[in-house]
Amino acid sequence: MKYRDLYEYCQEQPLYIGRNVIRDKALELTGVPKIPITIVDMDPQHCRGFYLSAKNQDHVMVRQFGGHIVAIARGLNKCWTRFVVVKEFMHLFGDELSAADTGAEFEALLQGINGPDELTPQIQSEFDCFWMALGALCPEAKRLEYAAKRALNEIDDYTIALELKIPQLYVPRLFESRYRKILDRILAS
Amino acid sequence: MDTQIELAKHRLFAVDELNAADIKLFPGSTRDSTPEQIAEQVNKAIAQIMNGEYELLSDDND
Repeated sequence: MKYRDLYEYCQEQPLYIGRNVIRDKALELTGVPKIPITIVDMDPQHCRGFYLSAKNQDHVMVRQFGGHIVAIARGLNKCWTRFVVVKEFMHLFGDELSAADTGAEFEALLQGINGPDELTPQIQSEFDCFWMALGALCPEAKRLEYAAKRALNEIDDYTIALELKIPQLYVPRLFESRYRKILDRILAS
Repeated sequence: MDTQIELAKHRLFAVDELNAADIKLFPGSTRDSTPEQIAEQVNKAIAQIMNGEYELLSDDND
């Protein structure tokens, strides 16, 4: 799987891993020529960003930006911007099954994004890309080092967030027991 | 009536509109957003991008 190649590439990168480093490798692996990031006035209470792949070559957006674009809400801080953007980059690795390419699938995504009743392939993809982004932004050796220090109260989540430049909110996710299991499933797929 | 949802579905999936192959979302800070509220943000973003009312994120590798 191409994500595995990105994941392994990121293991060798020094901290913090720049978003363009991840973008450029993801583009190389997927053969996508570019993925511009636009900042728009979305309300981050409701949506911090989105990834869009469009096929209509005659559409003004596609003519200007190409077939892949990320939009993010204005005013996100550096850590949030990095995380939102990298998570959306992970959708470049998505397959046809997990793509939301119909109105019904989009509507199900809207219904389920904040707590799904049914785990559709599209919602599963959202969750997987969250973990894929964490896996790309935090090399495993560093994660294990943090875990050991954290267990001894030698480092706090704020410091880890500063070093990785990711939202502090998501630092505890790195140390959940399911973290390795989820990433291993994704890497094996 | 889910006006914003229907508008977003049209803009995204009509063959003569974006004809989207995929769209994925990053949730907002509140977990209580309705589908209509999220769709409204998507519509706002698409309208702004189409009308040049956006900034490109700097290429500074943060």
